[in-house]
Amino acid sequence: MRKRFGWTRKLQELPKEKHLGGLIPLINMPKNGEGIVRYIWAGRGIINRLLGMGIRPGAKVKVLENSMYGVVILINGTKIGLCPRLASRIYVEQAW
Amino acid sequence: MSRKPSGKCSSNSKFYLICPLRFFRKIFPAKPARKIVIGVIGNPNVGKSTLFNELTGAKQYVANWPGKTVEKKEGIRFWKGCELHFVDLPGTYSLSASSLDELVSREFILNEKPDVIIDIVDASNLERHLYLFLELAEMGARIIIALNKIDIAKAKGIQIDIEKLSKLLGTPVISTIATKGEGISHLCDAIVGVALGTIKSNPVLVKYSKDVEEAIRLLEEKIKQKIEKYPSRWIAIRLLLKDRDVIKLVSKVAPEIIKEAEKLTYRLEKKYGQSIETIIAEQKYRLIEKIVSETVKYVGHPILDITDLIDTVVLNKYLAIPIFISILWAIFLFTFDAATFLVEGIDFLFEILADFARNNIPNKLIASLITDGIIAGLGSVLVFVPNIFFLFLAVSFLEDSGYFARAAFIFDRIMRKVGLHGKSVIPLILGLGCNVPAVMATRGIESEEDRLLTIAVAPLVPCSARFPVFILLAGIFFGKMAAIVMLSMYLLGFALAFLIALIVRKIFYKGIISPFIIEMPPYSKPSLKSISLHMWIRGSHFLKKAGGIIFLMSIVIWFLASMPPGVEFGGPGSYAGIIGRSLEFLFKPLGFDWRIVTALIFGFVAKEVVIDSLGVLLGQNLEEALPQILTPISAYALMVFVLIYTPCIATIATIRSETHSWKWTLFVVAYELILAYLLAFLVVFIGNLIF
Repeated sequence: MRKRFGWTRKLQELPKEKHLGGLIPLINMPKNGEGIVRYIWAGRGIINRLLGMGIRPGAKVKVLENSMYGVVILINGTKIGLCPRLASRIYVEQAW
Repeated sequence: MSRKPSGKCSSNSKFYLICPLRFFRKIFPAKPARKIVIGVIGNPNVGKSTLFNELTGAKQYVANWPGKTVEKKEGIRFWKGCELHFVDLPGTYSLSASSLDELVSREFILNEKPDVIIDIVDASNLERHLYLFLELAEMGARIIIALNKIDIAKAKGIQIDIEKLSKLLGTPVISTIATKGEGISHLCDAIVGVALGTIKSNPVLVKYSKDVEEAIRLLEEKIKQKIEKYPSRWIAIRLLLKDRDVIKLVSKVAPEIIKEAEKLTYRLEKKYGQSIETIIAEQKYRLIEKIVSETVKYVGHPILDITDLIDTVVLNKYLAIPIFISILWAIFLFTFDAATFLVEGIDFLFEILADFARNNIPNKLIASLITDGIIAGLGSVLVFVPNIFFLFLAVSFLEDSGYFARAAFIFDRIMRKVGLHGKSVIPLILGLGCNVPAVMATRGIESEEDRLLTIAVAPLVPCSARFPVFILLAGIFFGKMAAIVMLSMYLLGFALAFLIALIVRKIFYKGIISPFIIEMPPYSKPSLKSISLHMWIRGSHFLKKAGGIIFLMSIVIWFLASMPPGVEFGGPGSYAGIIGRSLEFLFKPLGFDWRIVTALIFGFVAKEVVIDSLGVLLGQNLEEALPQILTPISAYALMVFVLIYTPCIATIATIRSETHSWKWTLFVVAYELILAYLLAFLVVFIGNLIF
């Protein structure tokens, strides 16, 4: 089989290691929903990129748009657009 | 290669010929100014290029980083007896070297050891921007913070205690408003001060938690003995983070350290239950949070943001695409209609020039070289220049306003299906006007692979130069069906672009498309100064790079068309005619005779040349002459061929200068020729079966 890149590989590892009780991926958040990022499930390159942009565990996040185009979030006063695939790998604890 | 800048702006300048002071200086040179090298770094959208322009004015030159496709901008300013030499580093969020931009910045800071680094920080978003600062600090750089957009922060009700911030960070903090040019002189003073040592810059280092610090200390001790060139604490941290380049570096001198680092990393990850990147970043952010809480105050409530209002419309599920199309339409009108009078003016000027040369140069051969070769060749480039400048003006406007980020976001899903990236959409659409700016517009795509791929398929989008060829052939051969035939060309062009993207992606890049993350900056009114400078720098860059190659090629084509001496220009006896006739056998299956082959060869210069040369070769009345040598089926095949094969020399030259790779350029040229031939053949084959 072809060698896969980092973040695809991690995909297969996650469920065993991580208890995701109560956490939901960003893509399932409603519009205007708020929460706190708890876990990012991605390879090193992407993780570094997200961390540099302020998307990190512990950061408050608000979903501004959630449509077929992807998810737009507000984090630290910055708007960031994410593709649906990536948005389904960022887990947040929803605040009601 | 990057050029050494010092010679270009000061001593070598030809201005001393007209300027008495320069002339005086030429004879009695002043005491050489102390040269200070300054790297300018910051997150994307922080106003870096605006500040850079304010710092250096138009004294800039653009090149590529040695061996990289990333653009390198440099500029010079003289300040208090020092020569400030600014280097614009690519906008990055961090320095983890996961992208080419980050790698370039990092290598510059580590290897060229600039005297000062200016870190531009957005005052209204300190928290995120200080992350980069902390990474810089670990690399042992001497940093000055330019606290930019302080006016916007104030309007948002954010108050920053600058003195305290400077104290906590250990570096000078200068507040600036790049768009208004405020704070520039303070910044320059600080640069000179830090470089000469009169102002101190000891950036604060992150103190990680006990076990992380312990791991760093263990590694640092060992590294100190082996590597002296780089700061050992930084190497230790990067080793813990499994940084590929650092591992490579260390494994050359001390492979045992890497095993040790792996062990330590594993232990830390297990203890914290998180990846090492997250652990380190979280602790950095903890320090940032502390600093921010001590220095930033929020007064009053932020008013309703106009950006949010615009975004609810622009990103709306149903409205997004119609809005995008109308904006695109506006760009097209602006680029092609508004620039028409300039295009025609330049055309007219060149005609006068050519007439003048033809009538006044006695030697016929030289007259022909100058008129048919050089003037016609240069004319064919310069005629595009107004379009290109107008397009860059429009694109710079949209780029600075913040809309491009939204467009890329909307189209990511669709482009992804065909193996491209959201940011490929703008280049492809621009290609409808001209492939040259299309290729240049790919600069916005970060991932090298995505960018090369977009460049490879962009020439398949039918540009405006192919339009006259289509309209002529469709009009002559298809009568009432002409419009449908034309439309089929455009559809085929886009379909092929997507198909090739899909195939190349599968073959070369194993089906990996980098995930899409994009910052959507607040909408802002672009400043005229900024966008016109932007247009000028990019436009003149195109002229220099592509102009040289086109100039050369037009002489070559002239030579082929008019040699050996005495033949009719482009006639059967000329070298071009001979080549055309000798290649005729290849094109026989397509139903093209040698005159069409010759016209196609000339079409390498530019697609509209195909019609001109057919006119020369067949006599002026194409409507009567063409049906005699082409059947409707082979006419359609000719249209397909013209659609697909290499657009023009200007595009080839641009691909070469943008990719920095002859290999990739040749690949594009080759696949397009082969594809053009195969598809044209397919058209003839199927056409003959049906009709």
